[in-house]
Amino acid sequence: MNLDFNLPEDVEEARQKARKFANDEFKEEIAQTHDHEELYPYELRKKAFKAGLVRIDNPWNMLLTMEEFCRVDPGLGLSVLASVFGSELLLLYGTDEQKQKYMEPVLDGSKISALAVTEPGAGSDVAGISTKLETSNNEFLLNGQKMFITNATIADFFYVLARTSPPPSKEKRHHGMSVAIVDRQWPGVSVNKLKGKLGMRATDTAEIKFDGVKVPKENIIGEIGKGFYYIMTFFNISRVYVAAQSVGIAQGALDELLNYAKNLGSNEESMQFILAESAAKIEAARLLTYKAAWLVFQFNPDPALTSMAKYFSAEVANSVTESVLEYMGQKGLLSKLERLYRDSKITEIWEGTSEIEKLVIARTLVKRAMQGDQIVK
Amino acid sequence: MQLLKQVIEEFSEKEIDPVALSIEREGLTKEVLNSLAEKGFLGALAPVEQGGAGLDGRGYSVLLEVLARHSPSVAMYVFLQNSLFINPLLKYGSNELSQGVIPLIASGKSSGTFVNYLLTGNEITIDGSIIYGVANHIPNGSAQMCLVLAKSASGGQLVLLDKGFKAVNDSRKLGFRGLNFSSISFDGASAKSILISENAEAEIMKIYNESASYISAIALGIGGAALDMAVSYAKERQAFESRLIEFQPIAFLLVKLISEFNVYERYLYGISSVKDSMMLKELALDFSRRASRTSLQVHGGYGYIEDSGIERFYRDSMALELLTGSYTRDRVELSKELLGVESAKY
Ligand SMILES: Cc1cc2nc3c(=O)[nH]c(=O)nc-3n(C[C@H](O)[C@H](O)[C@H](O)COP(=O)(O)OP(=O)(O)OC[C@H]3O[C@@H](n4cnc5c(N)ncnc54)[C@H](O)[C@@H]3O)c2cc1C
Repeated sequence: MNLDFNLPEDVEEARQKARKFANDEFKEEIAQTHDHEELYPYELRKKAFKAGLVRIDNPWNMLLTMEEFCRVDPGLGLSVLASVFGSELLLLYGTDEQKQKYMEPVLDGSKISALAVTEPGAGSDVAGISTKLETSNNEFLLNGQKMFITNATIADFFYVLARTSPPPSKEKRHHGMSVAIVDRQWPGVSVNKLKGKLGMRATDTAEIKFDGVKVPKENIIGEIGKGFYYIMTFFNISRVYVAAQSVGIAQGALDELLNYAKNLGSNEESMQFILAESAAKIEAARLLTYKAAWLVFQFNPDPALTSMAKYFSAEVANSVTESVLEYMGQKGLLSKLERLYRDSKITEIWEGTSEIEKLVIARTLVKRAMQGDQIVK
Repeated sequence: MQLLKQVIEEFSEKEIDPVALSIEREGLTKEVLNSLAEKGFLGALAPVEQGGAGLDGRGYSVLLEVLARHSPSVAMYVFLQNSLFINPLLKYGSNELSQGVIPLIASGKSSGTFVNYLLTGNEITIDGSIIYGVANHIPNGSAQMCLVLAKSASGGQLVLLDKGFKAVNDSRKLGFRGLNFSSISFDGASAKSILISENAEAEIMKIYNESASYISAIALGIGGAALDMAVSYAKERQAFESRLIEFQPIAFLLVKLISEFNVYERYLYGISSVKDSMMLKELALDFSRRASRTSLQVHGGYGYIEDSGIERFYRDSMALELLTGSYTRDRVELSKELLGVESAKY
C-alpha cells in the first residue's frame, strides 16, 4: 500500500513560494485597479517569470501556482500564468524548429501566446468552425474570424484551429481541421479587444479577423487534418488547470469567511454550516483535481476524470463564492469576495462549458461500460 | 393593472431601452430621471397632492417589476426613493415635514437615500441632534437628503438630514452600477428632523419587512427578463447542428425556472400580508440568482460580456439581496413570523 496524499517536498515548496508571491504582489488595491480598468498586468507577469513561477515544464508546480494565485486574485493570477497558453501543443506535436522559434521565447517570458479555437458561430461545437486554411502555391491562405480569445491583443502569435478540408461526412465532422501558428503582426490579421467582461477583467480578451493571411507550410503543427484531436488532447491538459483555478477561487472565498469567523468569534450555526459545507466541497474538488492531474502529468490522462474535476470544481467555485458572499452581506460586497464571485463564473464556461464536460463524462463512461472496461482510472 | 403594466412597458421601451447600457457604464442620466419624474414614478407611493402617483402596493409592484426587466438600476432607484425614503417620511414624519420634502423627491428636484447601519455595519451615532460616523457604499450616495438610522444612548433614532454631510464617490462594485455609490461622512452634521427618537431599529426592520414584496418584484423582474432572453437565444443559437433549446438539459432547466417564475409572479399580485411578502422574498431572491446564472450560462461566452445585457442580471440579482437585507437578520425575522420563536440565535 503506497497511497500517499503528501505532495513531494519541492512541490510543497513551490506552493509556498507562489502563495508568498501572490500575497506580496497581488495587493488588494492593485487587484482592484486592474479589475476596474481592465488592465493587463505586464509588470507582474515579468516579475513572476523572474521569480521562476511560470514553468510548464514542471506541471505540478504550475498547477499549485495556479491554485495559489487564483486564491489571492484570479484576474491577476490568470493573466500572468495564461501568457503561455497553448504551449503544450508544441511540446507534444511541434517540430524542433517550431519549439525553438515559438515555444522557447514564451517559456522564458519574452513572448506571449494565445490559442484561437472559438468563433462567433461555434464554441462548444468545435467541429462547427468555419475559419479556413487553403493551399495556395507553397503556402496557406487563412480566412475567418475568432471570438473571445484570451491574450489576443497582447500575444505575439496565436495557435489557430482552422478547416483544411470539408468534413468527409456528417459523422466525421471532426476530420479535416489543422492547427497553424500565426503571427499577430502578419498582414491581414486584425484584433479587437472586448471590453466589459463580468470577471477576470485583468485578462485580455479579443476577437481576431484573418483576411487572406499568408501562412507558411512550416507553421502547421503536426499532421494536416488532425487539428481537432490535438486540440482535444490539449484541453485534456488545460482543463486540470481550470479545475485548479476553481479550487483556488473557492479557497479564497473560504479564507475570507474564516477571517471573519476568527475575528468575530461568532457562534451562529448558520455561519458554521456554510463554512463546513464550503470546506468539504473544496477539499473534494481539490482531491479530484489532483487525481486527474496526477494521471495527466504521467501521460496517462483519463478524459472522464479530467472533465469531472473541471466541472465539479467550477461548480464548487461558484457555489462557495455565492454562499459566502450572501452570508457576509455588505461586508462581503466591500471586500474581494465580490470580485471572486464575478471571477468564478468563467470557470463554468471556458475550455469546455460544464454541460460539455458532463457530456464527455457520460459518453466516456457508457463506452467503457459497453466494452466492459474499468469505469474510472 | 393590465393597463398600468402596458403604460410602464411602453415608457420603458421608449425611455430606458435605448440607454440601458449607457446607464450601466455612466450612470442614470438627467433625462431618464426627468422622464421618471414626469410620469410620477419617483413619487410612486406619494399621494397625488404631493406630486406623487399615489399607487397602491400592487401598482407599485408592477412598476418595479417592469422597470427591473429593462434596467434593474432604474428599478432600484425608484425603490430607494419610495420604499426607503418617501414611505418612512409618510409613516414617521410630521405632515409639515412630508409636505415640504416629498414634492421635491417626486419632482426629481431633489433625491434621497437611506443609511442603515444594520446593513452596512458602520458605526453611526447621534448625540443630541449631531451625527457622527462614516457609512460606506451607499447607493445614490450623492443625494441631497439622507435618512439615517443612528445609535444614541436611548437606542436607535431615525433622523433626516439635508445638509452637513459629505459624499465621496466609491468605485463600482458588484451591482446596480447605474446608481452612484458613495461613502458618506457625517462628522458633526446636525439633523433637520428626528423622525423616531427611540428604538428605531425595530421600526426600520418593519420597513424592510413591509418592503419584501417590492424587493421580490425587482427580483422577479430581473429573473423574468433573464429567462426571456435565455429562451429567445436558445431558440436561435445552434451548436452540434441543433438549436440549443432542443437539448434536454437546457430545456428542462428553463421550464423549471419559468414554472417558478409564473407561480411567484401570480403570488406576488395576490399578497395580502407582510408575512406573505417575507415568504416570497425568501424564494424570489434565490430564484432571481438562479435564473440569471442559467441565462448567462445559456448565452455562453456572449453572456459574459456587458454588451449582451445578461451579466448585469447576474450581478444585480446578488447585489439586490446584499443591499436590501442581511442573510441572518432576514431569516431571524422570518423565523419569528413563521415559527413564533422570538429569536433563532445560535
Ligand atoms: C473570457 C473568455 C475567455 C475565453 N478565452 C478563449 C480562448 O483563449 N480561446 C478560445 O478558443 N476560446 C476562448 N473562450 C471561448 C469559450 O471557450 C467559449 O465561450 C465556450 O467554449 C462556449 O462556447 P460559446 O460561447 O460559443 O457557447 P455555445 O457553444 O453557443 O453554448 C451556449 C450554451 O449552450 C450549451 N450547450 C451547447 N451544446 C450543448 C449540448 N449539446 N447540450 C447541452 N448544452 C449545450 C453550452 O454549454 C452553453 O451553456 C473564452 C471565453 C470567454 C468568455
